[in-house]
Amino acid sequence: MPSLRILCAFLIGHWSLAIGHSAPAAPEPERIVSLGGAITETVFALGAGDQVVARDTSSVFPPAVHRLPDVGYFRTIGAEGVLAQNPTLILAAQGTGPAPQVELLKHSGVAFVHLDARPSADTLLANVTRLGEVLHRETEAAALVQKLRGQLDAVRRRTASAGPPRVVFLMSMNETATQAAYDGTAATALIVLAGGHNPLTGLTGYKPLNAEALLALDPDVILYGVNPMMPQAVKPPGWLQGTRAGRTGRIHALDLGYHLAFGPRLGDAVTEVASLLHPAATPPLASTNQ
Amino acid sequence: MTTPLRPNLRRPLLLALAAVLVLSFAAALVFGAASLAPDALWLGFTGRHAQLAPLDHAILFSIRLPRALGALLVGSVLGLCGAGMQGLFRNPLADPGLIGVTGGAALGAVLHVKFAATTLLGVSVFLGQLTLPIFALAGALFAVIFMHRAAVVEGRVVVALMLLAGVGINALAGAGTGLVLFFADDDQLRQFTFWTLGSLGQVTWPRLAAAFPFILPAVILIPRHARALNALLLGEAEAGHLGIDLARLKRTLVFATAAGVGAAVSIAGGIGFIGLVVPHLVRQCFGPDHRWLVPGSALLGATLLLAADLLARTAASPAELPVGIITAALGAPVFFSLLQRGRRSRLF
Repeated sequence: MPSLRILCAFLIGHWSLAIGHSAPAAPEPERIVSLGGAITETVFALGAGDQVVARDTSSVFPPAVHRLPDVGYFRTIGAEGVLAQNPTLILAAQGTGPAPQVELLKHSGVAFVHLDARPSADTLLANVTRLGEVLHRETEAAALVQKLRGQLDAVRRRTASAGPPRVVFLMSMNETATQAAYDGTAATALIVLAGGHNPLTGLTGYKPLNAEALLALDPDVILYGVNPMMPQAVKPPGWLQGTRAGRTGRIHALDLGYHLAFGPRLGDAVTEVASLLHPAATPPLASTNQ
Repeated sequence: MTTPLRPNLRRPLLLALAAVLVLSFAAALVFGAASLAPDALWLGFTGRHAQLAPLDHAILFSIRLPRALGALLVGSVLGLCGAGMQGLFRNPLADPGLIGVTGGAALGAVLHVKFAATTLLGVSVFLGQLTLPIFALAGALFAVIFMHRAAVVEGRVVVALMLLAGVGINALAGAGTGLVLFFADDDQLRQFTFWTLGSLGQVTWPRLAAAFPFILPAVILIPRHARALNALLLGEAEAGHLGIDLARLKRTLVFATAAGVGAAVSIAGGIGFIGLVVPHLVRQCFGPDHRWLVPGSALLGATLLLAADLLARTAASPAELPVGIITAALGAPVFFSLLQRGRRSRLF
């Protein structure tokens, strides 16, 4: 009976198809719009990069994101532009705006996850864990958290014994003045994580600092930010060479898109900066030789 | 002045302007970053909401409609108030920014951005999304009350003093804004920067409803004073002899403008050039008669802002440009060509 055989084959085929669907219990892939550089980087680090369908302008790493449509800078997004990507999940850093457009996204029926964006290690670890849950990548998230914890703890142990050097972070330097990082900035948080101390406190954000005040402050180390797209565009001005940091060759450039991103590469960034702040405490291979 | 239209062509042209406005309003609903189902507009506006996909419904009624209405309202009130101010000051360079309205609104906005989450937390929780518009509006009204007091001599408002007081208030408000910005953090700084560039992305139903009562007086009062503005073209003394109550006219127009422009700026931020350029364009066609100039400016202002916002939403789609950039970029070349023509006819 050919027809019975066909029926059997059909049933078996159908059954095995059903098994094939249910066995690994793989969740439906999402269509993610990711708003915020550190968030996008974390999604890719957790191996869910192929589910990202659009990003914001501040998401520039890993290089694969550049082929994705850009819905605009995350602080000035338009709800319609985001929804036009047909997302099933919107991941947004705190600070995404303007507020009315964010309200529209929250009420659009698409899953919307708001993530803290304060530059701190705790925030980053919490965000990694949260994204692991949201993306069903708990294992990858746990591994990443453990790796980051390990790197940060290692730096803390190495730098704890020595007194913290006085470190300032500068941006937009010119011949007479500069912007310096005060409280609440990614730069200050990075300096502290790397075992340094920022003597500039009492104001928040980046504030103008005149050349004289900086010379009077005479920090041990001067860090300055460069745009990863044009690393050669910024040169420390001549007057910085007169400071203690200048005389001892301790003026270093940091990559704004990497060292200050507070994304999944924070452990590497902190390790690098710590070796700049505490050259004696971190001879490259010393820890393994002992 | 270049020759305006023959008087009997004014009415058809005004109707044509109104028709273009209706078309651009429709275009603002049809086009955008997302593509709607072809029948979405039809279904939505014939009341068959249930047949509309939820996403299309949200885009049409929560995003595009309030935004288009906002552009309509803001554009028309900026055009109206520009025409009113140019008539009142008998100066082709007058615009609502000149009497300190914009500066005051900006100071209000930046104070809100700085203190909303700290000192004024109670207020901002109570007022919700309306806090920023209300602060900006309060700033605009304060500035104008101050300016008005500074410009009254023996019960009469002196126009030259009013302009100078406006300059002073703008400087003072600018200093205050700068001081607050110095102590702001990066987030607040960026928020304020984008606010000054202007965007209709801030417009939502509640904000629109909050701004509407403040915009209404300008829309009603300025056209009603068109004849008085015509009389003022002859000069202040002459207008007085014609029986115009000048002190009252000035007070009415200045406060209507402050409320209207203050409310417009508060929901859409700083949108440049419409108040200045639109009345000039309309004057080229309709001549200096305010009975045509005022409604023409309202219609053209609304049309221009709708078109500029459509461009802002679609040019860099899915990202959005600040609309203030587009209005200024469109307005400035038009303005230069006007200057050129004015120079040729030795107007200036």
